[in-house]
Amino acid sequence: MVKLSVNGMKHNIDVEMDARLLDVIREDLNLKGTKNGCGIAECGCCTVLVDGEKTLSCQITVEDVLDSEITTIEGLGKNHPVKKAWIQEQVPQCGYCQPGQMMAAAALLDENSDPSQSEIVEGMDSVLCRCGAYQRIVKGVRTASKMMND
Amino acid sequence: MTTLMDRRTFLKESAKYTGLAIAIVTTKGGFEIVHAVDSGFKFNAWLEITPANTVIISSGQCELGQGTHTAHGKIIADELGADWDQVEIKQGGVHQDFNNPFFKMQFTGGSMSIRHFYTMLRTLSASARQMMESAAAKKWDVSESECRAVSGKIIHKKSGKSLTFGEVSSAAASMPVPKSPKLKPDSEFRFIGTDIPRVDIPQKVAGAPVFGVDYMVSGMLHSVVARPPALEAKPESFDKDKAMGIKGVVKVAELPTGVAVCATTLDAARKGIHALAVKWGVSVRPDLDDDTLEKIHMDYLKKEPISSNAKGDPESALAGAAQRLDVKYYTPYITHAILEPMSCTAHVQKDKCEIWAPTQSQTITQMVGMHVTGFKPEQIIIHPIYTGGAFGRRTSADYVADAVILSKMTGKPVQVVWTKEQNMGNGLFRPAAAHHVRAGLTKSGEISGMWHKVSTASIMKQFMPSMMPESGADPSSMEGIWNRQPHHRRTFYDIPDFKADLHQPEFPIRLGWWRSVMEATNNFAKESVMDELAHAAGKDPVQFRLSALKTDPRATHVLKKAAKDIGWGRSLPENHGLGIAVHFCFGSYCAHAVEVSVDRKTGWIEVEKMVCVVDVGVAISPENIKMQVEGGTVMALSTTFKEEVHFSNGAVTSSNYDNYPVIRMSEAPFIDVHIFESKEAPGGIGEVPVPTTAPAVANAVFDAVGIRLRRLPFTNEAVLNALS
Repeated sequence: MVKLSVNGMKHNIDVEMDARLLDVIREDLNLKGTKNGCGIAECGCCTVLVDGEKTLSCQITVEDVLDSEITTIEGLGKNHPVKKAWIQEQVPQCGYCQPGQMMAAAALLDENSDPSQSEIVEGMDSVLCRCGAYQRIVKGVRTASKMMND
Repeated sequence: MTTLMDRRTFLKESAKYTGLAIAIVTTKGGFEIVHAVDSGFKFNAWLEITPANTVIISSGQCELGQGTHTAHGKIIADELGADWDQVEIKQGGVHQDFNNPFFKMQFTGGSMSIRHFYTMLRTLSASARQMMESAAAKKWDVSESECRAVSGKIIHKKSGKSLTFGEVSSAAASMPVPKSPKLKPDSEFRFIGTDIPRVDIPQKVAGAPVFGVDYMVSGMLHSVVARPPALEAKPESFDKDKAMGIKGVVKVAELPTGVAVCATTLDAARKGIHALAVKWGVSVRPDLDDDTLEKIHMDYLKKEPISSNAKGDPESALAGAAQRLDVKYYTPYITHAILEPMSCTAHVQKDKCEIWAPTQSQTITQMVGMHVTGFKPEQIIIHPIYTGGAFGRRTSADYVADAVILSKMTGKPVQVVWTKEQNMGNGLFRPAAAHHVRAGLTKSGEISGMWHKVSTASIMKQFMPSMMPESGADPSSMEGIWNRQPHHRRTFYDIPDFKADLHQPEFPIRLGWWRSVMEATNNFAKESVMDELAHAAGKDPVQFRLSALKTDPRATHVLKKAAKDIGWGRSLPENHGLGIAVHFCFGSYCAHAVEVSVDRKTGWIEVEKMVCVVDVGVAISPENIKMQVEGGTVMALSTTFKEEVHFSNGAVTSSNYDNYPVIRMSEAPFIDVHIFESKEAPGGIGEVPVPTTAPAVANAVFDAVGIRLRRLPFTNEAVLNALS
């Protein structure tokens, strides 16, 4: 049995130490918000926060995060500026990459609450959007930034 | 002592939750079956008004992130006179009321969800509105013409009396359905033309489990199917015992598409596939690789066409031309590269089959369910769920069949999920296309004849063979060059002497519709050729096009506006260029104008500025239209610069985003979108921005550095080769 701390709650789960964190989140904890998009660190759909740091959950195992606080999209909170901005700007199209986008945005704004255009792109480039909604994603980050700084 | 609710209250209360027409009421003597009087108003599968004053709108089209459900809600709510707060929007299953009025099936594709349904939805809503107004008029004993539906109430202005929709709903249900309901004037629209927050967004932002791969049902088995990497290869051997030995694996089965492992967990299914170690036979076409495919497509252009269409006298016009252009173009196979893997959950029970799947067609999904189970249509229950990317991929129900077969075998609900490699490499692909265009110019630089040959495999032949004409020639392969009727015109430009030939090679490569389909491949050639002709004639590319669009005022205004917005004709720095392209497809006009810069050392093409102008007729949701233009343009730019499915030794080698890269945020420009204000009938938008993107870039590259790129994608290598 393994103890993991996810979204502020402690879980005891029966998984192997080398299990991928993405699979444990989705299949063992039934938190379906974090998505599987590629499995090879190219798409960013599996982005979570590990101790506040932007992390690709398809690239780490349970063993890597035993002593860490993991945050998924479900743990971001309804009133998080990123979520409010995403609704205000109507960012998602199909929506599949958006949990990854929002987690990347949360990580970026936590470190730098007033990023420039190039800082936004640098912080967000790790997450693909096949629908091509990048323009609105950037707008979402800007609006979230404004909400945080007002 | 028990207190019995009185009958009227019971019926009223239960109708709130169930909308039932029949109820069982307990009485002193036992029980009574009664007809409820307050059962609300179910107009048809699209529209229901409950006694509790909720307007339930069910859309038979699928919400793919293109805003269709919200748009349908607006159209119905506006015509009905509802208040937006009382509207509840639901996804519809299979129902004949939901059929596309033009081709009698449910299909969310071809950018048809607004343009094919606009009039129908307004008409049914106007009927329901009139029936409510009649019911109120009857109740108040006043003239119908004095009763109006406004913001969820029927109001009698003279007396000040009003009834909510809910209060009048049951009486409305028994009013006669008006034969020709009167539609509202556009000036009375409150929702159409405004931007109301989309109903699908809150769940997507919350990270709710709303996608195909997220779906969970109790007792569900997980399945992964091993599929051949080589075209139509068959499994030669696999280790069934080893797979069954994995903890959690409950079944191994050979399917038409491959070898399946079913297990109690996804992890066990994946481990089972690994243990199975399938040995695949050879490809049916080991000779196929990228170069061979391109060569075969080009060689077909020299053969006899499978179909030939013409107007005027193109042979004489070409023969008599002062100048002739003779060019070839090529677009490779591309794939949808959707982020969410294909998946389907199916549960075959004794007398019904339930299917939960992302889909673009409930009808096609239902047909697959019927084919596998042998059940009647009404026994197949489809629950469409959100898709993490559609773009035409979810029109095929190929990912449905396996789940239904396995559920039938195991007697349990089964969820099949594709691997990333299968998602990328197992199709479906937009067919490659080779073009050969000959065009003539008179001495004064007007077009004198055009002959456009296309060599491309038929999607329809694979997908819907029953719809193929006797000739065997796919009529959709030439769309954008030689349009099928009904259409506004055969050829986009006023070219009186025109010949269009289709050459149709065939390969064991699985094909499908990819956002705008052949309009994109054909328009790449068409708009590049117009540009080549303009330059050959020594004319400005915008003026040259306008002179062949004199009879098309809407094409004219989008082209002019795009040119104006990019600053056509301004002086540019070295290695910068401007390009433009215009087209009509899926009911709407679109023009892209772009400024690029080309790095001669690296071959990198930078999009410095991009504008897109669309005329979609009545714009239901302007911001949503802009988002579709932005997204569609970015997706098209991805195919312009990066995308090509690779083949080697008769197998697809493209397997994930590392070897099939798609455009990232750092590579995507911002698009300035302008929507023309129009009262014309609504056209589509989802696919509309794709066809003009690549040729606008190609034309800008020519303006910048004088190279003509005639093959997609424009990789750095391709640019450097052309420059040398």
